[in-house]
Amino acid sequence: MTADDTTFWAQARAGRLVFQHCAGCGYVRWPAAGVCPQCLGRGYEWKPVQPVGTVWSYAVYHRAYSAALKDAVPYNVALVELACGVRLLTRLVGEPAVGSRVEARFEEIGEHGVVPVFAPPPATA
Amino acid sequence: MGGGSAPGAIRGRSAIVAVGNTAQGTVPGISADELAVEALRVTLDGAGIAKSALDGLITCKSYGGFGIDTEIGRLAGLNPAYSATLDYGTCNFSLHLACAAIDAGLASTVAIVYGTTQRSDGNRFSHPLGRQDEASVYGFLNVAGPAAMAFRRHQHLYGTTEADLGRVAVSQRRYAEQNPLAIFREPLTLDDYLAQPYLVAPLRRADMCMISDGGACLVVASADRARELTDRPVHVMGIAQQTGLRDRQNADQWLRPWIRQVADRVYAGPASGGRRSTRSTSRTRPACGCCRCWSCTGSSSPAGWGRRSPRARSGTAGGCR
Repeated sequence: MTADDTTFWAQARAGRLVFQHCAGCGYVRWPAAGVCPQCLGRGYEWKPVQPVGTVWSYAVYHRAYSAALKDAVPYNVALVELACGVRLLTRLVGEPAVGSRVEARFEEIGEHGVVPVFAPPPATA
Repeated sequence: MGGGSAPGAIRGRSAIVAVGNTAQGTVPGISADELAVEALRVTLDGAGIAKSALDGLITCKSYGGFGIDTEIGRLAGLNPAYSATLDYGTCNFSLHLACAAIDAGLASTVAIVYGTTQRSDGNRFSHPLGRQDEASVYGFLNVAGPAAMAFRRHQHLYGTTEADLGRVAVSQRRYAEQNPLAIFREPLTLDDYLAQPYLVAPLRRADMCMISDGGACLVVASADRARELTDRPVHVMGIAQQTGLRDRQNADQWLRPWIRQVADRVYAGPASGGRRSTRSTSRTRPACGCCRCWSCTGSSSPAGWGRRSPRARSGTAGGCR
């Protein structure tokens, strides 16, 4: 199960943002995969990345598409382009803005425990 | 893939000769595959084409595992020379496959059929929440999510306003008012649109496509056969495709930049690279320009829905544009 992304979530609970780095070409894989989509090599190592990125866009859900989310609306979901190249779905905290610089925080949302969310860096907050 | 020769290579060699729909919306008491066959029946009847004229069948999987050519062929009593099922159809891919099969000589007259009961069957385009993944953790459910993100990105890049987007829904509603098969036919003004609450901001309900039951069919024939089957063939002048299979590894995935790449190729014209004449332009545009979905290609008159071969000129097809 090399494509298992439980490492990502487990490390996030400990406050670290880690992804598979390809052993062959260094490409950072996300979603997790047993094969590198860049060089097709199989080897990799889970390594931390710089937890900073830019907001590509975000959506605000006013409708709960699952009964489990009825109390959560309205909530946002964002796509953040990390400096390492990964495009990560996440939650924005603070005032979201497309194109703004954000950095990872690790917070408890919903039933999934502590997960990565993104917020403006303290200097510009 | 920079050359303009590929899209125009099939120029005029095949033509759509018939198109039809079943009722849309909630269609109880009929299975998805039976709806596909019903679409085939009304299409052949409306165009006066005999079932025996078909030597090709292309289907597309529908919600719940239906839509397989072996089952639809059995139900429709067909032994076509050529048949295929697309895992994920949309009318474009299916039409391209029909043109390619015709151009390769595998078939001369291909029926493309689709039927679904996904509304009655409760398809919500949702996502199982049990697993810890991005969609579940952050609540990224329904196709409205990526669409909303794409539109907000578009606003950021180009200054597009919600009123700009609203004009799409308002226009579509105006067409729907004239279409007896349409579900939402009450008038919708831009003020009405802007007064609607957000569903997934910045999108509102009127931006969303209704999940619907229904069947659709079109018949594509070689240019020679088309002349025998209809006096109003719609010739396919070019096809082009570009995938984004790398998904979120692609920059701007949800803005779907490949649509522009495909447009650049398909409108680049024939192998000669020349511009198309006005006449060929009017003949090559789909009768319905609203979404390039052939399932909503229809004629202008209410009686014509599901009953007529397509108009040869887009200008006379008032149903959608």
